[in-house]
Amino acid sequence: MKASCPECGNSIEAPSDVELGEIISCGNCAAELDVVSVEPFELMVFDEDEK
Amino acid sequence: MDPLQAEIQQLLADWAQQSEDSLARVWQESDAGIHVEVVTARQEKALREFLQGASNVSIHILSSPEEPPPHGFFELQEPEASLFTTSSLKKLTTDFDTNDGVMRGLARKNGNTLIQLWDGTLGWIQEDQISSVGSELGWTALKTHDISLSAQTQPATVIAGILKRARSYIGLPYVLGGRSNERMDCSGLTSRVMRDEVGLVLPRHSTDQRRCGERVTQAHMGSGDLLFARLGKTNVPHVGFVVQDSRGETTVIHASQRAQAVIEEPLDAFFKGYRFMGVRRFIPQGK
Repeated sequence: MKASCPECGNSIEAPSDVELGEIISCGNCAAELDVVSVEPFELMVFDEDEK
Repeated sequence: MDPLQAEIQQLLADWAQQSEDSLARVWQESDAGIHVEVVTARQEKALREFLQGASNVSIHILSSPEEPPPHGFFELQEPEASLFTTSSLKKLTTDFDTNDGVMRGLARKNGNTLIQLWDGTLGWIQEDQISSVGSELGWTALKTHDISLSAQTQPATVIAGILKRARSYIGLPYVLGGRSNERMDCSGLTSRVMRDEVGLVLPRHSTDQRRCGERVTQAHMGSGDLLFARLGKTNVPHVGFVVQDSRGETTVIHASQRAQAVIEEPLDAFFKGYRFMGVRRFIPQGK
């Protein structure tokens, strides 16, 4: 499954068992990305909230 | 004064306006080189962006393990203490204890000391709570590492110990920054249990803990794994220990913001209040 990093456009290949809600990192720009959909595979930049 | 030094001085003055404890300073050496001392890597990054490649500036990061701590090494005078975000000692950063070992002394202000724990955590503490020790005791920077179990140590035994220790904190009140026998937060629980049970030093914060260890899916998670989640509809991070019994029933031991205490609850109840973010394994499950 592939998607583009919303931060840098790099193509990201997810593990076949990637799960909804997982946070993965872009190998190019190190942005943390939220898996917002598995099928289709979609990513959004993850912005953590402070406690 | 060198024009660049003056610009840097103004930048540091702006930082000081924003933070009561901005300790950054700039000076010039006889070699005409400009030196800037900052506390954190984040400050270093901001400074480098400001300098845009200026080559005659040396940046010293006090929190870097390579820099000698200006005020030497310290140990706690009492079993437990707390670190605060500023020298006014108002907002809790974290509790800590003598098992956190020797600390680095980075700055002094208002009778309080900015120290760094061996997991990298920075915070202010009253000077009378710590005492100076010889530098030969040294200081160990944060290292997360694979657990190598001896042939005599079964993973199941190690994991049982972790869960028993985690359960010993059930009932403690949830306090952000808590990591003591009196109060806990989520990453305080996981870091303290792992440190005290298996000697593994995890980062203090759940975000950084999530960046360590081996990725595991929900279908394959097991006892002793760390389950990462976010609170409700927010992106406030959270972490707890997975427990799976012989019947395959799964519970989570965690310092719960919702319950305001350390609890153990069934996984489906956990996911009523939190949304999945990932699972990480630090203890090999064995064959």
